[in-house]
Amino acid sequence: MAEAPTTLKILEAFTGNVSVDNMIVIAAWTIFIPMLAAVFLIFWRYLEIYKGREVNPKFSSIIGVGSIAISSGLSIILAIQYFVNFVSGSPTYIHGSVPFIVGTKLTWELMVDPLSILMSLVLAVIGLFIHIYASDYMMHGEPEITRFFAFMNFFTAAMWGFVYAGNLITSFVFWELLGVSSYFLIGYYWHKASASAAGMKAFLYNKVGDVGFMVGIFTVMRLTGGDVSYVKIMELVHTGALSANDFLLPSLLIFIGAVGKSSQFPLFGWLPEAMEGPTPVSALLHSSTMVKAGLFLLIRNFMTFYDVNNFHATLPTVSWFTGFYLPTGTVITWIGAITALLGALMALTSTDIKRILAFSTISQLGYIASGIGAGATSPAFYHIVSHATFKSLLFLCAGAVIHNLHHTQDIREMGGLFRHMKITGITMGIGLIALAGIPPFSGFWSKDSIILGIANSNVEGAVFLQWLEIVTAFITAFYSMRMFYVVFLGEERFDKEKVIPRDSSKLMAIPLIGVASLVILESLWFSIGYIPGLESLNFEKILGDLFGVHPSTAGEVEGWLIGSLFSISGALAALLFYWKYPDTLQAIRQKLLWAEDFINNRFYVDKSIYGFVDYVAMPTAEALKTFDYNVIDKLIINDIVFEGALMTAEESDRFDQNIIDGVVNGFAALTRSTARYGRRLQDGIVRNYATLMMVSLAVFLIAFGVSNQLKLF
Amino acid sequence: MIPLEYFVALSMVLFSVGILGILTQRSAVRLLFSIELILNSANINFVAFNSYLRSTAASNAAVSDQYLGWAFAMIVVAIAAAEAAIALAIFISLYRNFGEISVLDIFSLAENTEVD
Amino acid sequence: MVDYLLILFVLNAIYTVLMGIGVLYSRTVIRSALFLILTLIGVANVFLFANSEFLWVIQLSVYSGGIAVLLLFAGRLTSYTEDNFEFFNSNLVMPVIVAGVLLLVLLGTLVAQIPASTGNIFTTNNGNTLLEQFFHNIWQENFGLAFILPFLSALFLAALLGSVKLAMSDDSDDYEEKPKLYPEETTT
Repeated sequence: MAEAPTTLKILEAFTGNVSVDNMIVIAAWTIFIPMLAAVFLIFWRYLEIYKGREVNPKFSSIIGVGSIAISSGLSIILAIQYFVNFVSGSPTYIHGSVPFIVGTKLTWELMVDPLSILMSLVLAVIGLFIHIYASDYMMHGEPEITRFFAFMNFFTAAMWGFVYAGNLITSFVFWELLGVSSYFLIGYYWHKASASAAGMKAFLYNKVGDVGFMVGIFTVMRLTGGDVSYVKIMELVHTGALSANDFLLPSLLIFIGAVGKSSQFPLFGWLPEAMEGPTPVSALLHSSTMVKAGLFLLIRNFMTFYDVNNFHATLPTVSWFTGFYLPTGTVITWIGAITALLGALMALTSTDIKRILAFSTISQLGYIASGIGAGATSPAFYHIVSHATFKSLLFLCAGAVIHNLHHTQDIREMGGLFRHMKITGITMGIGLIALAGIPPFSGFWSKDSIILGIANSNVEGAVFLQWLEIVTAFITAFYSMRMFYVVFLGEERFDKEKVIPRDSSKLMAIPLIGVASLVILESLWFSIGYIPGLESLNFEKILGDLFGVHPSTAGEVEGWLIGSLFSISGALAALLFYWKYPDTLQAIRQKLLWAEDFINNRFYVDKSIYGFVDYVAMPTAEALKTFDYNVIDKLIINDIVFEGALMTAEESDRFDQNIIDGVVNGFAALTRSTARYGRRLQDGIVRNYATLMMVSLAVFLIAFGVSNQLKLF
Repeated sequence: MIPLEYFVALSMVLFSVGILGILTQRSAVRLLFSIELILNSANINFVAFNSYLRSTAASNAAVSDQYLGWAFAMIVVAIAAAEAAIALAIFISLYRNFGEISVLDIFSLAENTEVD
Repeated sequence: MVDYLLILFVLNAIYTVLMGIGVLYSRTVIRSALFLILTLIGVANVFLFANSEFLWVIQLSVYSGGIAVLLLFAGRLTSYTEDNFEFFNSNLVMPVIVAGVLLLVLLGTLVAQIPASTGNIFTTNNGNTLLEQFFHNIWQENFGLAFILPFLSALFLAALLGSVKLAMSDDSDDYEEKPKLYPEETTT
């Protein structure tokens, strides 16, 4: 921050007179306000623990929601001002920093650019809705609301900080804050063993990625000489000081971080378990914050590393991806596509409503990651936006369903709920259609542009990946409609004696309707953009302008046709099978039990990781421990170093006592005996003194005379 | 002309006699007498060397330098007189405090040897 | 050719030494003091042999006249009982050895004609011995003998004052408790 943040500057923001420095200040306040609210609520929670009861849950929720509302407003104001300035030609990358440690190149740096503004907007809208929803959801018998809102605010603030971060170190700090607050939120019901285990699992899986991210930062530091500011790296790339080949290792390492955080292929195991947290947490986690952080990091860094032409560009230029980006891009695209397929398959067989959504999140994240890998940054962000909206809507709806069915999550115990819960059913239907990619809903446009981007890129096996993702889109549509049918249509399988399904309360319904209408608005907007003559409203084009990325539109119409064909057929197939031919479905399923078993075990990826930990990592650690204990500790430290030191000490002790002390004692004894006999001379008799004087006079004379005679001097 | 060595030899003998007196005498008064003897032997040296130098080597020196030895002799005489006066006072004080002035019996300067 | 002056000197020297020994080994202090006076007269004669008539007069008048009387007075005041000095009763072995060795050494230096302190270690920067330099510094020509008289006056004054202080009774209040000056009361 160039100047100290003051309230005056915030007020200036409302009057529309926002200078470049004040933008950074507003961004800082956007982060600070929820953070301060979180800290306040944590202390409030201490007070509650001290008193032994909850003081006022309403108060806590007002604080929690209010701070997010303020920050959302600030970020919306910031976005409006940024775009106003952007159109009038102000710098694209606004950044400011304060020293982190004086004397080093580490700084707290915030940066405002199109990417962070857009992500912050998504976070503002979705986060606010989820908080409002949570303030009602958590009111009904959930414990410790204060703690919940403290960590929700903390989490949101960390995400905002991560979005606005202007260098890799700041990003990493907020990244870790995200990780730790997600640990707290997932393990919110800490008294449940599965919840605390899930939190631990999420934390540990993320840590694997964090190590990659951290090492990636160090490699970037080695390249740039310690300054890891994004703008600085862009400058170096722009001036040609660093070529794209230098970033091969850093970008792969940072991708490992994104794999952990965004639950890509080997490390997706934590995300379904993360459903152990309260439903608002899942919504926040899966829609706009936690998992999107990894993708955001990928986009941010790859734009920094590779978008050579984008730097300081007021007017965007074409920078479609070329070969220098290829090794990293291919790896990311393949892993993303595999993740998309595996997630879709897992969602297909799962019976837990929240897990289905979790697996679908994994699948959609795979889509986005593959888009980023193929260089389709703007389609990827496009999908981030649409996914954030409909996925949060789906989680809110699922939460409403679970809430009303007294915390049953198994879809086999639901069914026929549509006539009881119309609002929830309609909104969830909208979300699922968007997820399924039925045209003209938002999911269709964004997913299709990603597939198009992969098809038009030059990653290895682009055509195969394109068809893989189209097939995945078919599966996605199938499991979406399966879920809708099983939950809302068909026969009523819930326990009718205990449960009376009804629509949610108003406070819970408002976010549902709000987010659903947001999805519809998005869908409308996205669709309008593709009408000939209205290209200026095309959201993807706008994103491309902002990011300076212009994917080729070759084969766009064919892509739409194929995509809509597959998704609509998938959706129809699901409805048809579940409505008309459930027996056929069962027969097919019986034949494919082995596959279902394989999928339900999550392709043994988690089990492999556990096996690796159990049979490789732990034995290695044990062996190393044994080696350390027996060889290093016992042999080297104990036998050689310790015994040697002891022996040396004993020898030196002996030397000390006998020689040094002996010499000192000897001198002392000599002095004492000299004094004992010499004092007898001091008998006070003058004659004896005189005798001594004379004797010494004689001795001196003799010595003097002899020395003179011998010419000694 | 009497050789210088004769004077020196006499001075030495007289000095030794004084030393012998200091070493043997028990009475403080006799010690004082012995000291007077030693002073006189020193005086003999002064005067003899002064005379010798005046007659031979330093004849062209200043008058004050020519009689330097005399000056010392006179200083010795004066010191002897002052010493006699002080000694008399000391003796009276000693006598008053100890009842005698035998230096063999007065050894209050000695360390208390019973401690050892 | 006989140097009569030398013979006279030797005779006088023998007389002086004999008188000095007499000082030591006379029976009473009074006799010892008388022997001292005689010794001083002998020394005065030695000054006469050294062409120092002025000092001869000074020695005779001041020393053997004035100071010796003072000493006689001191002996008379204090050594009332010490009249029984026995030469061979006292422990003489060590003193005689010491004094004899000292005399031999002194005469040895004379015989060996060792010059007095001309060794290098006594020489200062400008070639003088330390003693020379000392006198050169404190005994400037313009001070001369004139320096002696004030110095001696101050010395006498200090000595007189000191002796008066010493001889005075310490505290006039408890006069009775002081040991008496009279010998018959102090001896036990």
